[in-house]
Amino acid sequence: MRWLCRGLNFSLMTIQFLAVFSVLTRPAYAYVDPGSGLFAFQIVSTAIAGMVFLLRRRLREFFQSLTMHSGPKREKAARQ
Amino acid sequence: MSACFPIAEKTFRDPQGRLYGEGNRIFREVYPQHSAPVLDWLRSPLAQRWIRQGRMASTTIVDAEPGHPILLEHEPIFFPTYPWEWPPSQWMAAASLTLGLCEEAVEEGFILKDATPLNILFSGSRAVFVDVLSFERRDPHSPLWIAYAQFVRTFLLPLAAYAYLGWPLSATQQRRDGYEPADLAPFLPILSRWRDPLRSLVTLPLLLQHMSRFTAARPRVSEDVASFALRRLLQSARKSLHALTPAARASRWSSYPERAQHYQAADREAKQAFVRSALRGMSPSHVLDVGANTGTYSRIAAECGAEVVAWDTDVQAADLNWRAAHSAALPILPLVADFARPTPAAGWQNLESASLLDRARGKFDCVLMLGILHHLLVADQIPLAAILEQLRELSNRWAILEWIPKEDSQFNGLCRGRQELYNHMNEGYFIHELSKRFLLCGHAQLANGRSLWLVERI
Repeated sequence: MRWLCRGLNFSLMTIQFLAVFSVLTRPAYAYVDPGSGLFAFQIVSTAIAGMVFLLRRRLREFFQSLTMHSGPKREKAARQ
Repeated sequence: MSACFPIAEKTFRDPQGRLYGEGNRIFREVYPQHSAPVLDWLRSPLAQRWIRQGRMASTTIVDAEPGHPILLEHEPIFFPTYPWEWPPSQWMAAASLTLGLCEEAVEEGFILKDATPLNILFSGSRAVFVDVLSFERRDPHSPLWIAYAQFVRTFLLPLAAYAYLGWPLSATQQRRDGYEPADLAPFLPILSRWRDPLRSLVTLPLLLQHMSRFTAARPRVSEDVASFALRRLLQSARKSLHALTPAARASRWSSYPERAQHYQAADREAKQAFVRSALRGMSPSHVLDVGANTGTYSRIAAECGAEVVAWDTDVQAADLNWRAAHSAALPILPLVADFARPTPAAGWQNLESASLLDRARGKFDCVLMLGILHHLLVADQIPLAAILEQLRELSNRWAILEWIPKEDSQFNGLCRGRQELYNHMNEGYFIHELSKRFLLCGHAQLANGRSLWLVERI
């Protein structure tokens, strides 16, 4: 599970890099409000964290459903 | 809003209240419209626990009548300091305390809304969070830490500039709101820009800064997602902080006590015995150690029961002093401060942060000036009479001085061929000038030609 999450994190980071590079077409020397880059970074990181959270939950639910399905079978096998 | 204790006048930046001093007492007035949430916070088990642990400034509610301003009183911190006077390890401790408090607050439904080193003071070697108005109830659906950018600008980027570029932390006196990623980016090597922690502190924020649609966003998510995202952000900030731990570097003065060839073991022992015996006899409650180096004599003073403030110009020596004091929980506050060029007053109308001398006057029962006089006389070219006048102003009663004769190898080294300028600078002249301002109470002659003097203010 842990390696899966790590792999997912890595993939999301790669997507983030590609997305950033793909939109970098604006001039670099325009006026920006102080702290706006750090705030934007926090928004992007938070969005990624949210995605990681939801994916983890989906994966956990998926594995739990597998266990639940296999549970009665195991019980049945044990009774036999 | 930063609201630090070392104030020369009333504070004005905080929209919730103002801090002011009356004599030796520190009061904070909280405006009526903010009184309910502030009382809610101050009466919470979390705030009370931090106050008991000494991690947050001790605060008493003096007056809390509904519809009126609340009056709080804070226990004063003996010697207020500013981040630009801290050695790097103190910066790390202050940043770690700020993050630690925010992490605990998030778990208990609060959040830190101001994360600047100006909200931290040191009581001895222990960091204390002083701006008690900086916490508020957290919106459980918001995944953002609004003070994150401020934490990065005022803590992490100055530490990154120090670690990667060698920019002195003292330069933050000119940067109340810290650095922007764009300040550092042009000076960083391209490869290290893409390695963490610089990737997430400088490079990506710089690339994202023109995407204004992000800066207008105020996402609202489920409570689970919000808590998860906040915890993750704080973990990543802590990871960045850890990665910025400054490497211990050797400096001109950091290994001076071990390398000093003009001091034989017997001389060193005699000097320490004289200082220890003098301090035991006086039992001063507060000692200022000028030119403290790595803190050998600061620790002797602390062992004798004094609370010590230790000034030295060498960042690495002050850092070693702080680390030794912190690990032994000694009441020593080492600062990067120069007796010859004291930290000036700064901020709006030069009234927001007090000068080093304004904070030091009237505070110390005893001042140590060991192995420093020749530097002030020769390297800084300050007349002996002026040095002794300044000493008299800083000490309420006692002082211990070390006289270095002009024949001493260290004195000669500083003179660099200008010995004729100091022909008059003999021990007789020193005693003559000293006697005008102090009573000579004790004296020890060391075998290396140096002499130690215990004096009391006339």
